[in-house]
Amino acid sequence: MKKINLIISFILPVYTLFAQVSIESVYTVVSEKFTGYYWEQEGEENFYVGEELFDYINGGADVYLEYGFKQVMVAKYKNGRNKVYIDIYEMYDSSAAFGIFSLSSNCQGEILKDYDNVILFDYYFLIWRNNYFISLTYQDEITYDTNFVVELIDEIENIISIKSEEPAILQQLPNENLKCKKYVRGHLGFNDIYHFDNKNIFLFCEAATGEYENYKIIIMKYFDVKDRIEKYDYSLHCIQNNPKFSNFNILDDKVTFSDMKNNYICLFGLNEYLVIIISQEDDCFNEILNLMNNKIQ
Amino acid sequence: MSKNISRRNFLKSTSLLGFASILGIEKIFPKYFQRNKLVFNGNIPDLVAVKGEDIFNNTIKAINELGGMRKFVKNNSVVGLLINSDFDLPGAYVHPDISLAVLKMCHDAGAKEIWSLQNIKPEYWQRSSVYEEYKYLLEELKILEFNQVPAEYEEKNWIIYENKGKSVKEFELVKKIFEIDTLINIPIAKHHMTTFLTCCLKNMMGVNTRASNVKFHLDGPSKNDPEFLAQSIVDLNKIRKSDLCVVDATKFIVTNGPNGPGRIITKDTIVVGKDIVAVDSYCSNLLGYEVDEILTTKIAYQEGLGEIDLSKLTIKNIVK
Repeated sequence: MKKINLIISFILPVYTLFAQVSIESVYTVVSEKFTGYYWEQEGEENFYVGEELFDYINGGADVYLEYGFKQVMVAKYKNGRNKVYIDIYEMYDSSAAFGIFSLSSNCQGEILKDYDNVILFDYYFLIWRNNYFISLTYQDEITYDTNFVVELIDEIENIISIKSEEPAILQQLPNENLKCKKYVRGHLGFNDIYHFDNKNIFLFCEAATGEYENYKIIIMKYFDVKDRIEKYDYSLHCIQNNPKFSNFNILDDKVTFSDMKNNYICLFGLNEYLVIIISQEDDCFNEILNLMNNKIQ
Repeated sequence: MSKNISRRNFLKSTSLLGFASILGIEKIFPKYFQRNKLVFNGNIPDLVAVKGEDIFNNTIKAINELGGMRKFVKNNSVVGLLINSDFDLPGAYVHPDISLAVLKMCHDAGAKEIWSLQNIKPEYWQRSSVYEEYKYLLEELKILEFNQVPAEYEEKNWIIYENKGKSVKEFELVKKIFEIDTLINIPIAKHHMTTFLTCCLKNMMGVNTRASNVKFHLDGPSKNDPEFLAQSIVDLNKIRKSDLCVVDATKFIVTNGPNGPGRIITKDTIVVGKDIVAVDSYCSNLLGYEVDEILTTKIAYQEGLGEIDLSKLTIKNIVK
């Protein structure tokens, strides 16, 4: 009896905490929620694993693969003439799922009250929970009931009990006036934030971006300071040879320049990080540089 | 409402150019006449953009302003339509009213055969506001049903084409593109995560097998290399050039492309033209990009597929 108690009180919760939740179980929760509201499944659900993602979302697959995509389960439900498309993406880790969630929400939409892992748009909503990214889209731009979303997310959180943690690099962004943040793992995601070059010139391990009222901060992490210094030199060389940038002012580990859209840009190194500030005003750099210095050191 | 040309200037230019053409002066001053092509070509512009809510009739209007469908589709000819219809989410696929309008015009122009170069699901057509009125046209439309995801190579329907360009070594192409007289390229202008814009040039990937398309994305010097992808698209467009481009720029996603869901912008515009680079260049502006940012368009221009500089073209903007 004691053994059973031990299993129930200790081993089972630990097992539950660390057990991987299967994509099928997540799908069952979502599916039951829709059928409970008289939605009917149309056709079979489908799986796409690894590079098979190209068969499902065509060229959209690139950026998912860049983050670390494992598989997706998709299904369609109908209710009269209304249709909803359910996409459950299983990524390799929680940061990858957060990354694609942050990139897809693109600093738009409305965060669901009390749920910072749910973003609502006019005809779709996005959910991030641990290593899952879930997208629910209504055809013909039909709106949905927010109470339904709350019920759904509660049930998803019951099954995926591990609380989602944002990637640590996001903590390096100053919190004050931060409007939204994104996490990036490669060149394609980075290009969606700011297009420096068609080539991957920064070669970072991971990056985070924060959008503020009048400026944007991008933080890129490298293996170590030596690696960062090498990448700084290489990226600066590429930027200086790109005709879309001008007005260079170079000072040791810091350079300022401007682009053709009248943005002022500052690139500088801090420990193992490269930081970029993009602003419409040229006089905000010092203030942000101080903020970043305090944050990173 | 045509763009900034006054009646006085219009009459002055047409009389002068008409008189000059009789004398053959345009051969002596070609640059001047090139600049004034709008007037000299009997009012046929290089590119037409019609803005308004009546998508079906605006498509017809746009093509008529470009000289009419008979200019592109001869009596008894074989036509191929390449329609980006395969996405389901709003703002990610061509509005079916546009496709039906083109189909009707090809039919009226006397086409012997009209082929859809990709499979099209019946429910796509049913989303059209004019479906009931024009569904009879669909009986005439022949569909390459084998060209649907995952579109696998088989000798009967596909051809392996060796690429002499700088990108992938070979393409696996739908054979039919070499059997048609007219290719009408019908994309939606929308966001694409790797190329930023997907429009006419990229829509040509619809005549490729899926395996071949994946090579565009993954076989470059590094995986997901935007330069390799852009170059592959340009090389593909050199093999079979589009004869007419009809772009849906009515409602389209500007984030999370090409599949969506994403933020939808409404421009209510149909863009048509013969010059694929010019049409893509125009549409990149509609999405808020500078044309320099769209690598595919830039390379296509550099390799002679068309004109990127819209100021060198005659563009007729019509608001209905």
